[in-house]
Amino acid sequence: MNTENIQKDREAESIVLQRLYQDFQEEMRRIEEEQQKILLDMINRKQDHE
Amino acid sequence: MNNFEEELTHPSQENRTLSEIERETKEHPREKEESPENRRETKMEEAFAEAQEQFGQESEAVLQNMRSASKSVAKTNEKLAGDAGAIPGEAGDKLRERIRALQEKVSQTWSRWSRDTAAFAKVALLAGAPVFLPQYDAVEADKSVRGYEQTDKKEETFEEMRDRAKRELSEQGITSEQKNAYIPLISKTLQRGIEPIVDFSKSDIGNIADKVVEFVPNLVRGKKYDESVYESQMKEMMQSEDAFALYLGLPQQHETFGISDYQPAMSKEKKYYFKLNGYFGNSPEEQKKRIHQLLFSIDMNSSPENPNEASLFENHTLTNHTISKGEDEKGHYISYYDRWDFEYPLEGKQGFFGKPFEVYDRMYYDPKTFEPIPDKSERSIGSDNGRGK
Repeated sequence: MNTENIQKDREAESIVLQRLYQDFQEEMRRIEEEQQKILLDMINRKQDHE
Repeated sequence: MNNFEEELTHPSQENRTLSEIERETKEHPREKEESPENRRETKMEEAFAEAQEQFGQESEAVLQNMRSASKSVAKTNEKLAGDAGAIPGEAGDKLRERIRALQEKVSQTWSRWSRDTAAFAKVALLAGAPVFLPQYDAVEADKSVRGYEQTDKKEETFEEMRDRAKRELSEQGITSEQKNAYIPLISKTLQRGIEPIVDFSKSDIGNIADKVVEFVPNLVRGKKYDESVYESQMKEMMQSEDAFALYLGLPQQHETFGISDYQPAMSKEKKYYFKLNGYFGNSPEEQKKRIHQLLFSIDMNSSPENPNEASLFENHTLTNHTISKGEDEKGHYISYYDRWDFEYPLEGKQGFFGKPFEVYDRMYYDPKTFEPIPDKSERSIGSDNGRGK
């Protein structure tokens, strides 16, 4: 192993970490979209009620 | 050269005067660092330490970002739930149900991804200096988000939970609870690399050494069981593979396990148990022989303090499990219990790379003839203690 390999390992680990984070963000984005839909539905309900 | 001559030629540190040591140090300052080889080693050590530190910081930052994002989304949910409370009727109920489901999703997402990230970081650092991460062992139990999950989780009765688990196992080969054990990259790597079968002719160390030697070739080629060697054990091997798969959060492939209708009376938690299909035999004749055999084992191997229970070393799937006999208003029955885990260094104290699961089932019988008696009632909680090994 040399310092170049250490650096390559580091980069590979970083890519995996970023990938995990991206996947997480994607899940969160879907949740936020659903929240927006619920909010719109609630606004519509309130307007109907009024 | 005797010791005395050796001491004269190369005096030990203790026998040299301070001035001698000082002079030597002055004459050969940083002698070790001067050699090109040592310089390269030092440089590598520094690079490695730096890489480890960077990785530690990066993992920590990712986890912190995940935690903040989860809290923020959970907060929005709380606000939505508050607003939805003011909407009357069926429409309001539907909205509240959607919000509740979303809350569940937030909690699951946080739990799952933070666990995966922490697990990956831990594995990546295993090869190097363990510079950080003990604090992340408890990452799953982060109260700030998981407390939220607990309060909003829909309550299931035991029967509902059991029936759902049966459905999931039949349709997907795994239950929701076991699925949580899945870790991207790691679970499938372990499944591909490790043969979960244990060779009883070898010591624990012998088995561990074998697993390590097999691991890399298995990763490259995939596992290949030699049927001519293991002919009589192929069924048990497939069963062990299924057990290992469930442990890792992956679906079983050979329908080895089902969900038991029963749970032991000593079980304080409301939970379902897996059962090993065919444990008691597949036909009434086989079952009769099996019941007889198990009762005989209990009589032979139980202790005077606990005459209704014994340990049984039997097959590769359950290895050392507990068998018990009991009686309730329905009649006499015999039961077995095991906690399936993987007792190698791969597993941390909490089963870090997988999720141990419990196996329990029972069968009623006629104590005079040992004939099995099918249980058609809905009752499902026994009077045996169902303790593990």
